Amino acid sequence: MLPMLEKRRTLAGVMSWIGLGILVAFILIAVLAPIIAPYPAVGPNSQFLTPPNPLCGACAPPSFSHWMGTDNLGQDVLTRVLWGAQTSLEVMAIGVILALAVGFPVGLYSGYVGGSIDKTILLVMDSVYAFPGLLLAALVAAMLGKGPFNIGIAITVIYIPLYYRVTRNQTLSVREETYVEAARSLGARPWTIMWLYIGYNVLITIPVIFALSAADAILTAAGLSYLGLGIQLPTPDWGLDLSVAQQFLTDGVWWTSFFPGLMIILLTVGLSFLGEGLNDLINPLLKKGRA
Amino acid sequence: MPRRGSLLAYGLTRLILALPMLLILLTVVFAVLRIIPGDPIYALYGGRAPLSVIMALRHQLGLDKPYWQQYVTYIVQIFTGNFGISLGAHYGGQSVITVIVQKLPATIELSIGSMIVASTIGISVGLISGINRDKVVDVVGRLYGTTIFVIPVFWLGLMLQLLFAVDLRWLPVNSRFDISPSPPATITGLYTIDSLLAGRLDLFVIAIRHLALPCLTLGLVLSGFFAKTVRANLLRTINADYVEAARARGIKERTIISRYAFKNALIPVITVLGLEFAILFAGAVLTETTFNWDGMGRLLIDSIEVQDYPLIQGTIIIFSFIIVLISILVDILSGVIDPRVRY
Amino acid sequence: MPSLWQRQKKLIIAIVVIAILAVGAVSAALLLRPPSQFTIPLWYNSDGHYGDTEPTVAQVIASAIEKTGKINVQLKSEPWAQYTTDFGNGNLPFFLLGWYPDYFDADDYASPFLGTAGAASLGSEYSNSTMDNWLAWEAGNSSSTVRSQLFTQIQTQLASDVPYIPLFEGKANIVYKNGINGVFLHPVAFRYFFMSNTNNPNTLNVGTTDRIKSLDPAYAYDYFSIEIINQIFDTLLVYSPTNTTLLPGLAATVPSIGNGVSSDLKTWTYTLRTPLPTFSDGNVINSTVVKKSIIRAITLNLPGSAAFLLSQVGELGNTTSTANPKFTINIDTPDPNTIVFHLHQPVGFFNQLMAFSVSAPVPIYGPNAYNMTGAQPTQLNKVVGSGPYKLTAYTQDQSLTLTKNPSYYGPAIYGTSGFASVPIIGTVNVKSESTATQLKNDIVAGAIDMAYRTLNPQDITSLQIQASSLGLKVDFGASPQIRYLVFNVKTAPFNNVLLRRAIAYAVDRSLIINNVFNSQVDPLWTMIPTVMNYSIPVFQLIYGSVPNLTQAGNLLSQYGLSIFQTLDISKNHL
Repeated sequence: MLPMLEKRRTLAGVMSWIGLGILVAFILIAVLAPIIAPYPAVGPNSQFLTPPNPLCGACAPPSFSHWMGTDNLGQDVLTRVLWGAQTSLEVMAIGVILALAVGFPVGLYSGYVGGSIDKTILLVMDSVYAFPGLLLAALVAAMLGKGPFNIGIAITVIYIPLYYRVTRNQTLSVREETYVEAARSLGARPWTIMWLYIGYNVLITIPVIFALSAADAILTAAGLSYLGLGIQLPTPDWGLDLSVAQQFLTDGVWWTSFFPGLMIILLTVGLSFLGEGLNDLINPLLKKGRA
Repeated sequence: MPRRGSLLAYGLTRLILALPMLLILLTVVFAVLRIIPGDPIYALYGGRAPLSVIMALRHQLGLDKPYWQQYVTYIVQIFTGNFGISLGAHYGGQSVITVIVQKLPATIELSIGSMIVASTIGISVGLISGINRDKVVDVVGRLYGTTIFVIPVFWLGLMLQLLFAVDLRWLPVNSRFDISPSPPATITGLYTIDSLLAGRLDLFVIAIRHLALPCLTLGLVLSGFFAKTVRANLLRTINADYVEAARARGIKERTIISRYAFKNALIPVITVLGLEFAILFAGAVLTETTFNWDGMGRLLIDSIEVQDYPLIQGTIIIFSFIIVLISILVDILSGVIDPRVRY
Repeated sequence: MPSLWQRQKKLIIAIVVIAILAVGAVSAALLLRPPSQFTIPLWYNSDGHYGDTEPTVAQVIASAIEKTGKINVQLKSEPWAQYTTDFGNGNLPFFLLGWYPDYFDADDYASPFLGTAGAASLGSEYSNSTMDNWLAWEAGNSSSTVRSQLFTQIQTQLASDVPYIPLFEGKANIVYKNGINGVFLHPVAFRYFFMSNTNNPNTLNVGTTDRIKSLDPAYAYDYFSIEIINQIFDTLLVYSPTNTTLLPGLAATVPSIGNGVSSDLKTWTYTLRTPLPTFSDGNVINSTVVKKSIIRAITLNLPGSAAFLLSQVGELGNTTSTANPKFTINIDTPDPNTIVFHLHQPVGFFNQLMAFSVSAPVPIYGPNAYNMTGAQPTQLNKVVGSGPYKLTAYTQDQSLTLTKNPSYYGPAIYGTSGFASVPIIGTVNVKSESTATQLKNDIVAGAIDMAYRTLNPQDITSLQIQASSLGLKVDFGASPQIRYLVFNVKTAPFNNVLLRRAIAYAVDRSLIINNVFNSQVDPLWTMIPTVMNYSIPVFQLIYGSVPNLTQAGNLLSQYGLSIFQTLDISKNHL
């Protein structure tokens, strides 16, 4: 039994490290994009003035000078894909971190104190949770305006209830644990109990939710851009470029939609691996008590 | 948590709790819509009419009254079942309920079809994966579960459409039905059911052919979640104490799996269904746009475009109400099947 | 198991540290961007009201302006509802807009833009009293010599004041299977009743990306609803199949000065045909029916309808009450065949208004009488008209079917144009698609016979290339649709005409036309499209056919711009 457990956890560990590696790679790309991108991200550049391709403006398939080809305005797809990492990571980071910053403490508080306060907050959170996420984000984005920062905030709203719920549930189960009772009986103050004991253990589960909701945030942002309600041109963004590129798909122009789509899939798969792997590592530990 | 025994009390409690929830939602939506810059009457004319005409119309429709007054009127109307009249360019003049009732069956049909596809594929993959734990099949299954979920649904839809409809011409490109013959007479609004009720097998086949690609798209994306959950539950069940006991008594592994593990692994999947429906509605918006599917998702996006307040509010309320209803039903269902799950 | 725990702890710490680094790095990169030059915003509509190409059009214009080297353009966008509200309230300083005419007269391209009231609705806030006088003069005058001179003055002033920069005029296009004839891309009224289909003589299947809003003539004000209304309802006057000549429809003749029209252009008399025309249900159309239909459209004043075209532009007044004679509707019906319209001000193009769908008679008497207190529902048995087709099937937002009207009063109306009897095809099915890509897929797959409005430009090009192998025809025709840039001339920095003229010099129309629309649109050098009378290419004459960066630079220098001056404005009310 034990060797199997070890092997299983190693597999989960491998998944986690792969996922983490992908995430780090994307962060590096985002930070280094201004340096490593071969062309300006926003055109149209001089290529636009050469005889255009009637099927898609100034687009050209992947070649030696343009590894991922060019889009209908002559903009280099590789460049836009690299810069797009910045936009995506910014949206994801803001969206998810803000949600965590709000949902986590509120969930902690709500789960610990219980009673009618807890019920009320739960009601409000559930109301927001019942709302189709994409559309809530669309409405908030319409309210705030369309820059990457504002889209990030719009996406935040969807994930607050998620963090809240997970934290609250964990808090509810953890607060009955014996060591919390022990701490309370020793006279520790409520805030101390909450933050030190419960908070620390609940914090363990957060990275899992973080990774998975980050993947979802990227997809939501892409969906918003696809519907025309998210990031606006000419900001390089994978979802946006995908939405523009889909017009040309039926004319045999595959590279303008393939590469941005591939990036979305790679990043979300990486985050998904990370979340899954961590989940497998952490949950068995929690169930079997402290190792 | 202390257990409440009666299922009826549980169901009723949830239902009653749903009402204030919907009220909060309605208030939030009302407020957000009024804060967003933009006005439906301007959108109606797009600059083609003199400003005096626009102002006169706003006054006629009560849009220049203070917000709290509009809010109170609206809430009172909702409680009498009047969801208002659409202000927008697309459905102007029609009652919101009428429009929603027209569009809802399309989304229901798409949802049910996608659920069937998702659960069939997902459960199969999850079971096969779980049984063959740590073998290659399992790794493939786990990868599938993790990866398929994160493929953008509009991208997948477009790829499938290109392959099956445009290149191979096996299936129709889009829409709910062919141009002719006409769809079956409306009884439920679901073309599949209505054509069967009318005894027209040919219409049924047409409806199914049109359902195929959208349901496949959405179903594939959702199946990942099913696969993961079923696999996890199966593993938990296989290693559970009572199964260990059965093993110790010498019962064959195959019998254990088929008699105990399968059934108990599938039960928690029902609780997942409620969550899946919420995700499904979000995915439905994108699928409906890609496949020219005339349902609620498209309706909502169109109303947001022209800021048709009554229609947006009505659609969101109905959407949320359905999700809440489904999650209550699912909870009751799992409470019936497995009494331990009760709140 | 300490080793496992340690490994896990490392992982979590690694994640947290990386997350913090990421946020820090990205924020730094964004905050430390170099300061911008003189920045102006350019607004466009983000959710496809003008098609999928709009963001690209905006980008191309922005880059052309930036070629001056002295201006930075910041693109901004909004969905349609916010866009229209913002420009209606004068909040957008510089934006893209389009126009499609209601009546086929050059006045519909001048008054709505250059008149004080119209310019206010369109967000440019241009106001010039001399211009207002010229506009009133040409609208109330029927002499083409006088109008020609007035329009010359108007357009010259337009090029000098530059409240708008005309960009391009659209071309209508349609794709259909070989073997279909009688397809005319009429600038105003697209009609199915002249078409014949050798592949299938009785049926025509059409696809479109448009959707019906309403089939009540008093309500519809969007292109597609009006297109379908034109198949089902006839008006007093109708258009010739191929050009914009007016023909008698329900009326027996087309009135002209001295022959039904008073010399002061305030009294217009129409005589109905004998025998009197009928609706498809057999009810007769007499002068009272015509009068009451028009009064219905005006007094219902349905939200978003074209009622104001009759009451304000057509100077008919807006109420039946006689309390204030200036606003009273005054229509006489001396006998069942004659209707006399008394206008409050002279209107030279009243005939064109009587050819517009809003003035189509609807049933007033009998079991199919139309709703007099609200819009007539768009349902199968509630649409009754006098035209060549009847509505025989309708699923909202999905499809509709038109079938030949067996009791059509006027199959020979177009005899002089070579069509002895209309309609020719018995059944027309029209299907609504959600996106241009879907429309294209359907016509390629052969599921529909005809695709009309609106394919993406590159899809059209691709279809042109594959036309012979697919057995399709791709046609282009004149369209009165125009696209242009609008300046809010009361808002800095656009309140300075030097800046506006500089941008007029910098704009590159050929980039838009060749690379965004694959040459499927034409450059526009004035606000009146070339398909109308009195159109003079003033912008070409004054600013040239190609961008003139030298001149642009000179004007900008005069305006006092140095390269590092920073000015950032987004919306006026912030």
